[in-house]
Amino acid sequence: MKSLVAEEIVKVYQEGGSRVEALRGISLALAPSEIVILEGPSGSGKTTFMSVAGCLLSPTSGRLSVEGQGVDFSRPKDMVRVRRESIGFVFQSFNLFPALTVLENVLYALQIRGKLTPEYEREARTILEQIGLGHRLDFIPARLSGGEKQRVAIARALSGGSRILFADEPTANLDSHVGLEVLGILRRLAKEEGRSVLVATHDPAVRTIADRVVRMRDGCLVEGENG
Amino acid sequence: MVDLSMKMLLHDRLRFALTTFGVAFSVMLVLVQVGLFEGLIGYAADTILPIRQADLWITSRNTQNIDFANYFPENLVNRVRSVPGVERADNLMVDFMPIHLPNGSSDGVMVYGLTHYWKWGVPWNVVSGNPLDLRGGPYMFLDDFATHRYGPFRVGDYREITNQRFRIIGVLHGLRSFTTIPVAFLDFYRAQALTDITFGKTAYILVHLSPGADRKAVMAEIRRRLPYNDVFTRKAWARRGQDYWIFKTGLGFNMGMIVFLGCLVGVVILAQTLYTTTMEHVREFGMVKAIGGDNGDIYRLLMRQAAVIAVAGYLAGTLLAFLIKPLAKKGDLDLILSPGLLATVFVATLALCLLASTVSFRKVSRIDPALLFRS
Repeated sequence: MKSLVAEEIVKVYQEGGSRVEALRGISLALAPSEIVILEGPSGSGKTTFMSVAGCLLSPTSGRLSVEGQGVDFSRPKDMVRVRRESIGFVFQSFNLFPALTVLENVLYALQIRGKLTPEYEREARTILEQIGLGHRLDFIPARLSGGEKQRVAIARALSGGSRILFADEPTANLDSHVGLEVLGILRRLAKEEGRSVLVATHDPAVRTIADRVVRMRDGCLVEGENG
Repeated sequence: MVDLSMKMLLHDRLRFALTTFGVAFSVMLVLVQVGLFEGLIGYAADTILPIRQADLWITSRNTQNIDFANYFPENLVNRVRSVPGVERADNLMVDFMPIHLPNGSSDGVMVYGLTHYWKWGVPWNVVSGNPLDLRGGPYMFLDDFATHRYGPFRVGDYREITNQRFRIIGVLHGLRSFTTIPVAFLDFYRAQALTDITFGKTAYILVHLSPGADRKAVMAEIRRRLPYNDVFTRKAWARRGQDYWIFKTGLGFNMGMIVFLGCLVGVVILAQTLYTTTMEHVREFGMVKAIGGDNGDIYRLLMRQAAVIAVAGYLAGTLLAFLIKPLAKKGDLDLILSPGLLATVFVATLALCLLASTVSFRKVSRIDPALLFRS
């Protein structure tokens, strides 16, 4: 079973009377343990597609199925459910909660997902230790390096057992050495833990971990596959 | 349990302190204003409610409050005494008079005159002297509050009211008229004879009912026999005087405006702060949505912040009000911070702060989590 199946996703924005077609019938599937790289120039629709596939944004038309369950975009609660249960995000600018410590950033995500149990808390601590942040649990983000922040973001995205990880330019704010470390973590998550990873990037180094590369331009998939 | 709302609130401590101070200032303003008002309005009933023996008060028609007495024939008291159910009835004189002071200046005094003081438990709060002696001649009891206006005095001193000398034979404490004019107690006939206008007249008749008497029936009978007078229960008469000052002088409106402005200041400060905070933390709120939260999670977060500021502001504001209380006392003002007032202000503070937090709801509901993709 595919982790995520997007079919004929169309997103049209109405801006000041003009019509902008951000996505023009994108179809893409993610399998467990698969790392898919989404490439394309700025304005090609990568972010919009990730927003729709990540249930942050509803499409104008099209279908989305996550872990075998169709998403009803007409019901915001259904989108919230999918984000809560199945999908984790990693962003270029980390988006950590600056007032919370490393551990609290992860625990808060568990809390929002209704999974702040001792079992998940242990798992969160384990993940943080595995990615080398065991000694930074009580640090606030301002005291962390860029690489450490991104690792916290990954740990937060995975908390509560999310099986699908969306990463937007995860190496853009990191130097090449730290970037490789982060890519190594993403690869391990996919290959050892069976999670699906979709990475939007301009960074050619990311291709080294990819199972598949798809390319977007003007809201369409132009390379890779559509369906 | 990770309390993001508190962490966010305390992350910027200066802003938290300033916001809390804004709410505290409003709370203090409202408590002090209403407390002083309650103290002031309390004076309007200060010489009515303590006379517990007086079940009914008879006034001339349309008298608004005890200080602004109108006069009617004193012998009407006999008609009242003959009403079934009336155990006792006596005339009470109340009049504003000039008092001449040893330094040659004059001031005002609110004169109370009664014949059988001991039967009515009047005056009360006696510091020194025996009220029975008031019948003996040109004597008076004076409240020690008068020291502030007349200068120091002692038992045995003389003061002139109109042009008649009265010897001070007793001192009272804690009695004040609404107009803050000191109160003096004289024998009824001495008080009556201070001016020609009140000769043969009285300001009020006090009525004590027989045990088991039907109050309403007695009042109806008195109204029938004294058609040009009004009859009130003690509490109704006290309330009438207070209502006069509140509603017919603009005092209540003025106080209401200050309370309204106090509330407005608090709400605006808090709403503005919460809205600014929301704008500054919009990415974090977007992240709350990205990790599976919904608008409700963020609303609860904002409301919790508002509630924390409300409680902190209330406690600080109440503390300030209690610190001001002794200062008010020094200025001869009673700042009454009753449990009812404190509870009401607490509930209002909480409600208004929660209301202020809703200003940010609209912004929150429009947060697009896709903004998180922007660097």
